[in-house]
Amino acid sequence: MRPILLKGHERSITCVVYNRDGDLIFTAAKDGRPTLWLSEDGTRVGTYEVHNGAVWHLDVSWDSKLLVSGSADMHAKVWDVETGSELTTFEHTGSVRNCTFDESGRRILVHCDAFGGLDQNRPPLVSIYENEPMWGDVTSWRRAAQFQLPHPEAGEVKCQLVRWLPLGKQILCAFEDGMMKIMDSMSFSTVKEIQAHDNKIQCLSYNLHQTFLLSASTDHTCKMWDLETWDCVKTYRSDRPLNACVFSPTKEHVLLGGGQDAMSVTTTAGRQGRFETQFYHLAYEEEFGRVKGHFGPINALAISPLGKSYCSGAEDGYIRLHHFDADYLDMKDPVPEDEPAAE
Amino acid sequence: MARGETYQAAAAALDEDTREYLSEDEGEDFSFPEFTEDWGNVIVVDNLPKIPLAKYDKLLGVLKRIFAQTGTINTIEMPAENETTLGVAFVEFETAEEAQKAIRLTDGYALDKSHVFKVNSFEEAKRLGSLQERYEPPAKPEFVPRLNPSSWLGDPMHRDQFAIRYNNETEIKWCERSGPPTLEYGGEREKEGGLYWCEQYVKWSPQGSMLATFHNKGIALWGDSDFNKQGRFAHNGVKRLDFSPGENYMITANDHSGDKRGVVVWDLRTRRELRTFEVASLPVPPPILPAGEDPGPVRYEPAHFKWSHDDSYVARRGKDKNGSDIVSIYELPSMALLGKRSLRADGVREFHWSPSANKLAFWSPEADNTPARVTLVEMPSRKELRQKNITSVTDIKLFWHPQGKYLCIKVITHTKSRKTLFHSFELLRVDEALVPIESLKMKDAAHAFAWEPNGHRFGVVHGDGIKPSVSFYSMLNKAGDAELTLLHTLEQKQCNSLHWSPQGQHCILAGTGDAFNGILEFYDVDSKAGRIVEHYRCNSIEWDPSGRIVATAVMQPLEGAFFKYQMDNGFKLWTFQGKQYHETSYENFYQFAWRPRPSSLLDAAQRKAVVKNLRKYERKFAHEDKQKDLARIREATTEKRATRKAIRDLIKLRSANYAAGSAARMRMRNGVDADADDLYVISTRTIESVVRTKEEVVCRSREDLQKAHATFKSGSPSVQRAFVRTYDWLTPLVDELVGAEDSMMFPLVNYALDQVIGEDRQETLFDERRLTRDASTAEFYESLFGAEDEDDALTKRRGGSFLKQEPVTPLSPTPQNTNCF
Repeated sequence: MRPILLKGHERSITCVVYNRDGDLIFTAAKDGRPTLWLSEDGTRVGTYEVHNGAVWHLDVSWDSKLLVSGSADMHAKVWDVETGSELTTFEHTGSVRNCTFDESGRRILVHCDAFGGLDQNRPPLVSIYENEPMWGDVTSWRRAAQFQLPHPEAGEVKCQLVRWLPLGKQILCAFEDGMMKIMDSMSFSTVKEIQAHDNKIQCLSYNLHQTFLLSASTDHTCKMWDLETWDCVKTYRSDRPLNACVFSPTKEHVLLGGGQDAMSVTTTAGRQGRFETQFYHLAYEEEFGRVKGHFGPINALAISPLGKSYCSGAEDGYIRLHHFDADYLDMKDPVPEDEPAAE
Repeated sequence: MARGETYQAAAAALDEDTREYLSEDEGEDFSFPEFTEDWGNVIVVDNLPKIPLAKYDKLLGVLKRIFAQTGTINTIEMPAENETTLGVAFVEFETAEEAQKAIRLTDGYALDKSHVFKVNSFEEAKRLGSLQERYEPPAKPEFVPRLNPSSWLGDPMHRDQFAIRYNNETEIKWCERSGPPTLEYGGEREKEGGLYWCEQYVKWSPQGSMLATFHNKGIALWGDSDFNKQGRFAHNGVKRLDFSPGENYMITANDHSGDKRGVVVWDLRTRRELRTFEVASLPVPPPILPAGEDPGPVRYEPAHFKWSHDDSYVARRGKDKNGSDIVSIYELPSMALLGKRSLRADGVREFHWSPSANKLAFWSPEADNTPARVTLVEMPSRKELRQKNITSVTDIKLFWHPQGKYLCIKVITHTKSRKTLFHSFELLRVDEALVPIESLKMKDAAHAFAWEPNGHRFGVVHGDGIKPSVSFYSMLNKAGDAELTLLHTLEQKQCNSLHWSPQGQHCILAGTGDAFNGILEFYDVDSKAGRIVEHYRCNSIEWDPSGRIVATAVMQPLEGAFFKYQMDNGFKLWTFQGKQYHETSYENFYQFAWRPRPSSLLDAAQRKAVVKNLRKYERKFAHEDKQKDLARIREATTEKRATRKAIRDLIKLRSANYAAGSAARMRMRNGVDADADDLYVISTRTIESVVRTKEEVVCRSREDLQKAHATFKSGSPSVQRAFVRTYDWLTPLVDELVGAEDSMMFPLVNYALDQVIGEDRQETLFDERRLTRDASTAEFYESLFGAEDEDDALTKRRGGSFLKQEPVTPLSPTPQNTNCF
């Protein structure tokens, strides 16, 4: 499997996503230029100009028409995917960490950090924006709701990730201490709290049907959650802090990425900082393969919805687009499907 | 005569005055003083000479003199019968303490040869007197089986065990011959009680029957098949533990300086302390350095204790009252100083018992015009078997052969300026008469030395550069006579230590530490075959006791945070040939310890028989292994199938939720069903892209063409086909000119060239000088093709590149890969 190196970013990659059809790849990096690529051959189609700071997160709507990106320049912007023109800008009071579309593609969840110490005027916020009128002009948006998150400067635990839950009825917040909170998206009341991990949750990822969730943490584990009961169904144990996780859409596999924290890489002797993508079997929780190549911790993983290729973005500033070769695509489960004949 | 009667007699012979007093006051109302029943101050002395009454006073005088030394005597009575004493005396002391002292001091006192005192307390004499005349055997206690110290040796699979310490866990595992180790015991009982089995290190006893765990309060021993507690040995702050080789005793030590109970010698059977010592720190003698260099502050180290091979002695380095160095040897089990005096050993640095005999080797450095000296002493006779004096010594290290056959003295000597060092080995044949010594001078620095555990060979890592050499020597020559022989030397090795298999023959040349970072070479000394592997940063290499498996580990010390090892902590298992078959990593990994095995009970003949029938055993074991693997796979498969089924069922069940949300999603998506198939037109198209282009130079001159042809002709049909494929661009040319394609292809090409260029011009064409652009040739080409030179000419003629001008090695094409990415 020879990867295609997507060269175009100048700094660490923060986010990689495929669109719903799997033909486009959107990437975000700390260089402030979200970039669009063709997944087929890695052609760079264009960039979305421009954020004046690191882009932390981006998301594409289900119909591949709109792109939203959140940046450390305290703005979240909505772009026209096709033309690359900026449709609207949401101003915030702090670095925008998360921004995601719900299933409609016309409702956006934006999360921004606190700014400037314990300034109660600029707390960490979660905002919801809606296209107004719905399915009307995509340049016109209104803020439908907003609520405040725990303030890290006040000694409270910092929120890491904010995501829609299926159908946009609830919101999932993941915290630095490994806690997950499920909130109602109308009332913002906490529905459920789960102590999911022992350390920072770095990545949340749904399966294709949005019935299960993966959470990856720096505590070296990735857990699979049943979204109906919120039971932890599976735990994938790694030997490294994890930053990214994703379900394979076509196979019973889970892809994990991570590596030693960029800050402590030089302080250790780990020759390889364990910057490989790890492949785990979904059911057996066993690692069966690794793809190496990065020389910095992997920050983002994305797999094409058809399961034909996957993409990893790392602290080293490279995006590696891997088209699975036949060996992998034809790979059979190590345990034969048929029940053994009675002996 | 029964003692009871003696007592009667004694009572009868009560003091005359007392009798009178009692009889006179019989009738009066007199409060009789309470009669004391305490005879604690009275002793009975038996085995006195039986003498006529005439000599009574003389003996009494003697007794008085003896017992007056132990205390104040109240009375002495010697009952007599028929004018002869009964050979017994009753001595009453002032106090019970005096009586006790008298018993202690005079019991066993020999008056003369046939009269050795038997002294007992009066109470004891009374008890002895009341004993039954006939012997009645005591009731047999119910049989309690002794703990089986070697239950693990009966494992039907003949596996070895090991102990690991990681995070808060302590685990005993079986090492499988393939696949991951299986857990035997992981402290589950302790966990039920809310405790960890061990929070510090563990240590196996030398024959593997027990596991010792270190705790703040002392040592606990565990054994038997289920790792039950075998005993607790309280010793605050214990840091070190040394079992005697026969597992009869152990020494524990803490590092509390000045603690009177800092070192304790225990009897493991009775679990009692035999003797305690103070933790004494001895100054480490300063290293010998080039003149003028500061040796730095004096370091101290705890006194060392060393067990002799058969548990009969323990040796301890120390200082006597005058401050001279001594080696004290204590006898077991009394822990009394052997021969009541220590071994004088001025400046002794290192001392080691032979692993197979009560011989002690030690060395002391140079002092006051006496050379450095290595001494070999036999115990308990204190006979000096051999001495070796060496001058200008910087350092000496002693290595006993594991079977005690040889002793190696590694010597580093220096020149007068102390700036140049010389390395050499003195090899003693300990078992031979007069202990002959052979010298081995090294040309460069020797870094490591290791004896082959059951043979006559040893290996040395030596050399000054970053890639040292490894040499193997034998103590026997080819004929088997005692003569030091160099077997072979391996050069340019990345290693700094040697680890022999317990079975000999195989050894690991390990490069550990920052210089090599864990390069391991599994080397077979007999066949000289090696295999180089790597375990990055590994800092521990341990052979299992059977020599089948090697464990290499990256461990961190228990105390302190060691981020240095954080990413690499864990262990790997290898076969003795260097094939890795298992690997586990842990966040914190502290210890890996194979469970030792007791030495084999087979004698040489039986061992030979086993080796002879190895095939038979091998087949049996191979079969067992296969069965086990199959069973394991079957079990794992069943289990995996079950988990897979469970998760598939769950996923399927939850998919219904997705389907149920489909209407809501459609609503959200403005009426579009994004999952509908008709949204997509599926078409298949094939895109051809150039993956790689390769240019090859076929030939440059006529000779090359001929060579190629020769290769072609001598090649097999497949080679010929490959040739045709490689040079298929020639085919049209050949076809065009000759209309044939056969094995004569290359001469035909020549023919073709002849046709094209003409016989007379061919020499010019293939002349080396063609590159000088001879004016006439250039003209020729120009006239012929309108080209600049020969290459251009050919290119133009054929429409492709044939000859290249770069000086390339003929027929070794340099492919130029062009990557499409």
